[in-house]
Amino acid sequence: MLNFRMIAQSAALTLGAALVSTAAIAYEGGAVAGGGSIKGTVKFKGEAPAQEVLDVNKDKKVCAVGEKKSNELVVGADGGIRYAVVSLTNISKGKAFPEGESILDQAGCEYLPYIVIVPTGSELVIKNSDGILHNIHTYSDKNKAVNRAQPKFKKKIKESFAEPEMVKVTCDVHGWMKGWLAVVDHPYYVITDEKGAFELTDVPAGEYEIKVWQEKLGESTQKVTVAGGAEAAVTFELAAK
Amino acid sequence: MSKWEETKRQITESQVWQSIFRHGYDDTPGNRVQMVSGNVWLHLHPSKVRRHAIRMRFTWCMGGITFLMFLVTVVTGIYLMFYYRPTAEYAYADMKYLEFDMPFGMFMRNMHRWAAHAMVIAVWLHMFRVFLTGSYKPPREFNWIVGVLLLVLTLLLSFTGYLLPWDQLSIWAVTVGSNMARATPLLGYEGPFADWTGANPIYDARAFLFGGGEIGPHTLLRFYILHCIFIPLVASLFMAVHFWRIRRDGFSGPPV
Amino acid sequence: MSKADEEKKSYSSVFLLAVALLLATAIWIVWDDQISRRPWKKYQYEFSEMQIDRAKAEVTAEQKRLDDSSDYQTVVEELREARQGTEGGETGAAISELSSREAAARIVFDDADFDLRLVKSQIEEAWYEFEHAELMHVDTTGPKHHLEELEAKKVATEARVAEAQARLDQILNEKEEIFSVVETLEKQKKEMESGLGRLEQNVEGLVIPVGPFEFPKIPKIQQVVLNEFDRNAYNQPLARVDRCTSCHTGINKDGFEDAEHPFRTHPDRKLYLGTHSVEKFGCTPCHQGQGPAVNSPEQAHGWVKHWLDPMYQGDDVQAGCIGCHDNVRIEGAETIALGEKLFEQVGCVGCHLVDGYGDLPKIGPYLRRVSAKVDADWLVDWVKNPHEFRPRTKMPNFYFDQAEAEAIAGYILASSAKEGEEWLASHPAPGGIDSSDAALVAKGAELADSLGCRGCHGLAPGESPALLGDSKDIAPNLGNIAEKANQRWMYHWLKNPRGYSPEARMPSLRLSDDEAKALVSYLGTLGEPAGSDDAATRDRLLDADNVAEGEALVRKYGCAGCHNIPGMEAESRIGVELSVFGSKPLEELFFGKRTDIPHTWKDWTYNKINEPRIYETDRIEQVMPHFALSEEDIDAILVFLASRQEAKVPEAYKLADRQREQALVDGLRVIEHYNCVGCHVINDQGGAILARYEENPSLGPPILNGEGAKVQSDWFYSFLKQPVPLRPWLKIRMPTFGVSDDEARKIVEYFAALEGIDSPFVHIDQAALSPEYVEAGKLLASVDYFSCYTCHQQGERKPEGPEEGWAPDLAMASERLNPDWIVEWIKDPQALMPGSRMPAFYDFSDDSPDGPDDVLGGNDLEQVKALRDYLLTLGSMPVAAAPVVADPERVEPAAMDQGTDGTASSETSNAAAPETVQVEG
Repeated sequence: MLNFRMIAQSAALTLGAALVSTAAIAYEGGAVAGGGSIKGTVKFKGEAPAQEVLDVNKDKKVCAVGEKKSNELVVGADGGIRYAVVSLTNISKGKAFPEGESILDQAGCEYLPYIVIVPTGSELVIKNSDGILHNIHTYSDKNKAVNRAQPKFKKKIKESFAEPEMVKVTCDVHGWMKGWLAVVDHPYYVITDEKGAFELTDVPAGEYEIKVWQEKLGESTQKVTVAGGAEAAVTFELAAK
Repeated sequence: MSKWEETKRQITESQVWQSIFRHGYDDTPGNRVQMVSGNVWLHLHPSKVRRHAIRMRFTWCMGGITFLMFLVTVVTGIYLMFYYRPTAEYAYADMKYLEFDMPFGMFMRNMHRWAAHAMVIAVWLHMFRVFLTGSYKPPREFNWIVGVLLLVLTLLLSFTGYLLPWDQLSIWAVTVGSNMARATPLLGYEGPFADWTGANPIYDARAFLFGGGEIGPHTLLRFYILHCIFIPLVASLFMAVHFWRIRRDGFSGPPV
Repeated sequence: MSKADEEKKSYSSVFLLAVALLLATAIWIVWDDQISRRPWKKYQYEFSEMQIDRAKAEVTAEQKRLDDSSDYQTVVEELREARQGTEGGETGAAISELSSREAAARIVFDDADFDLRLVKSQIEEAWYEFEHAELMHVDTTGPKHHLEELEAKKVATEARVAEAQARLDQILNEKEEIFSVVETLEKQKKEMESGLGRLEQNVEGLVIPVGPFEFPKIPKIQQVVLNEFDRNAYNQPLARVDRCTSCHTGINKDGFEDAEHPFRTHPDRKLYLGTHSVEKFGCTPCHQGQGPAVNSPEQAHGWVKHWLDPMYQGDDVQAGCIGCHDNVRIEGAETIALGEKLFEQVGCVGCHLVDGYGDLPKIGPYLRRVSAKVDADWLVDWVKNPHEFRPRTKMPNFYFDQAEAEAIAGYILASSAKEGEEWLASHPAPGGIDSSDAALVAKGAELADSLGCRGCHGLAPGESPALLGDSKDIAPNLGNIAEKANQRWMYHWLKNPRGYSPEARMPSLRLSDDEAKALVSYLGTLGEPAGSDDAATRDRLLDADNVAEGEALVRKYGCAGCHNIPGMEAESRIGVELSVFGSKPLEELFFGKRTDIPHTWKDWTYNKINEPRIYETDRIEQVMPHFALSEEDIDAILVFLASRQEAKVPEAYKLADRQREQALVDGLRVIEHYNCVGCHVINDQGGAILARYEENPSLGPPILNGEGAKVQSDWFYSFLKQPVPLRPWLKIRMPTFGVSDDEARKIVEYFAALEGIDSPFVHIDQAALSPEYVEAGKLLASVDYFSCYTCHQQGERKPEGPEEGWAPDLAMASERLNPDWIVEWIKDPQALMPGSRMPAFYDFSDDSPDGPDDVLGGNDLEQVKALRDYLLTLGSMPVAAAPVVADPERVEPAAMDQGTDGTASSETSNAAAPETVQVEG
């Protein structure tokens, strides 16, 4: 019998579990000498579906500027999938996180970028460039789910996340808005561009498992060996479920 | 006479001493024997006993054992009396506390009970033995009667004592036992001729036993007093007569 | 031996043997009494050893920690050095000089002090002389002079004392200076050792030192006396004595959870022993057993012949809860809560009377009109074995054979014929129902999915959204409903259940005619009503002999205990009264011919419920039907039955707040009757239907935790009597249950009792609201700041976009919500309703301001209060509106021109009513 606690837990803070249970190997970031890179593409198998047009039905003055399309599955002319997240799953030592803040902007009632990479423990800056009420509502199992309002006078708010996870973000005021936060514990995460291409640089030599995540098509992994100074090629082909 | 002797004489002949200890006696073997054998505490058995009568096969010693059991029940009973309250509220609980709380409480209670059972068995065996050895024949007929009275008193002691734990077994046993009384002629409300005397459920022989119409706290108190004071006193009296008779008549045997 | 030598026979051997036996017995008596029958001594020694060992281990560990700690070692080193420094050389000399000076100064001071005291007493004496002289009217000059002299002397002496004191103090200060370092270090060291000191004290407290030896504490019986807890056969109060803690030494101490019994800590000690302290409640009121017994575990636990209250084991102990707690739906009493619930709801009360459970509504369906509802063949099969048609029905199986089933079915049809015909006459078949129309059926299926039917009903075989225990459905599974009921009946039932059955628990979902027709078309596809010739079967069944036989059977098997049957309103329960069944002695339980069942109360009862006719013999017939309950369910019911005891707990030991308990029990009964928890989470229980809305919980029925503190009672009451749509985005519908006034009141009081609210009435004095705050709140709600009306409706003014994106009408707040709750909600909505779409505008977990700086001085809390005050001024409740149905053809209200104060400009607004935002007073 389902009871309230089970539902609440999936949306509530699991502080103790987050601190104790995840036996995350702490990542050591530093200088990488003689590293290689991994370059590749993520392709869609089959006929590319059309992008759904979103129904902008609120605050049209600000939001209904131009047509808005869904980014759930964006497949380019040559079959490349955009907005897929490619990462190495089993790396514990490598390059340091790049300097700079992670920024998520709400502009024109959409999330820019669609997926933003946020290192664990670091602060994500959430901007409201629209001058109207938005809210950040995240859905998360491992991190605490948040639902924070960002009225127009609050141009920036900050939020941080403790556990690596793909966190969905929506706005309750504007139901069509959706974005993702890639909360990561090491910097070898990259998002494919409109051609579906990606590149991971400064990878220390070794054998790794490389994973691709796409919100509709799920995950897929492959093995890759990186030699120092060389470029390894990886291609993913994802099909509709 | 030495100083010491003189002093001794003065003390033992003083009025205070004489009033307590009376006079001594000449220390002759005869006097010594006389002193012991004439003292019922030091020599309960008669001083002269027929040779054949001291054999175990003749006497079984059951009388003595009965008396020993009586003494044991008295001693353990006194211990129990310190801790037992004969009220409906406390009787059962006190019995439980005796069992769990009091040092040696359980032993005292169990010994009391075992001695009581043994006393009843022994007294019956004693009666059989007396019959089988013809020890009721003249001049011992009256002693036999006293003995039977003692038997009845022994059984009554058991009966009254049975109620005192105040558990289901007690109450129903006494109920069943006492219910017979209601059928007594004239004196029981269910007996014949009850209407001649006006016997009714709260005022007849049975009610006399109970102290009321039903078994209740009054019955418990009544039986307690019977069990601890009245019947032991009466039994002691009769025992005294019984032993005196035995000392006087000696042990029985075949005609001389 | 010849007769002549009889007197020479020696009995020495007999006596020796007797002496030996007696000696042995005496030794055994002492041993047995003091040792064997006092196991608690052994246990207490063992426990002492355990405690001492643990305490010593802690001391060692702490010592080691200190030894390993570099901080501590540094301090020790420094202290040693400092001390050394004060011993030799210059400092040493200075100290000894100071010490001797100190000694001299002390002598001086003591002398002066003594002189002062002397002078003071002399003054007392002089005063006496003076006053005496006065009284005697004698010349007082002499005494007075003397007095003055002494006073002067005193002043001088006081000066001397002060001087000596000062000198002494100075010397001491100097000394202190020298030692100050040492002292601070000593203090530090002591602080660091404080933990060790405490632990060592622990060890000391546990042992008795005798010379060089350490002995554990002498065992003592530990007991708790509960005055006047029991009553004897004469209704006199008796004390109850519990000595359990003499052996269970660790039961009330933390840290022994993994020890073996009898040392183990009580499970969930804080929950059970925290709220029921051992000193006040003892052990046996919950656990039973023979409290005063200490001679052996069996005796103490009451596992001896003739002890009427043997100790409970395992979950059975929960049978004790209900003696003091009327409401057992609490943490720690889950088993008996389930047992009670099953007992009430599976229908045991239909046949068995139990004190306190006699007034419950009948658990079975209303049969006065059933001839209008069901198919006759179905009815026969159902009576014969209900579980074949619906495996998880509450109706038990009576093992009727075909003839009996037909007789009973005939009687039921005959007795309900009259009212059934009347009902049919007034409820004609509607047109437009067509189970072969795929589109209509699909619409019906979609409605069944979204309106909330699944809060109670399973719509496919095997689907069980609302379970009672392990194995019973609260509401019928409709997976094969087409085989049972005709569609005409279904239609009228869905539109208005109480029109068919005045006692129906099924609510009305305020369906429109079209919705009802679509649903009925869909329901008509569930199941396969093949080959049933209703009319012919009815003819056969309604034969007079058949009906008469059926009537006799219905009386015999007590159907009227659960069902409302015409002509049987006055029938009494056919089962045995179970009010004190838990006290039933073993001797009174009849085992029939079964020799394979152990002779205990528990085994008898378990087997009885599991196989009700198990104790039948050739002469003794048993009529109890088979309920097909799972093992866990039966165990729970057993705990409940065990709680039905003759002995009652005295009032002084029961929960003090009886009114609250009663409110909880009564309210929960109503809530379970209508299965509110099928949709709503109430007190952290229920809400199974929310599993279908896991992606977005705000699309499911609202969580009602804390509802008592949230809404105003009178609003709540009227809402329950007549629900209105509150949340425009919801497709799922709060049904109209048609609760009676009494039932509505009980529900409201239940929620209030959950929150511990005594008097749940709120009076809002709008005149007392500060205009400054109201204005500030209005400003905050405007589009310049929080822009509340982007989502929230306000009376007739609707937000942009479709209803899925709306939020509740704020105009209802003043009548619906508790002002205090409004503040808590705005402060942190996610805490009150996790997953809610309402975002948090403030964050009170830190001190940084979240609201705008230019409103009420940037004070977050005041801003929240301002919002609350503003909300309380908004208009009144909307009239009970027509059902809100997402209708894609409805025209959306035009986009509002958001002026700077958030009000709609009149030409674009479609509000016919005037602005309802007014500040009063």
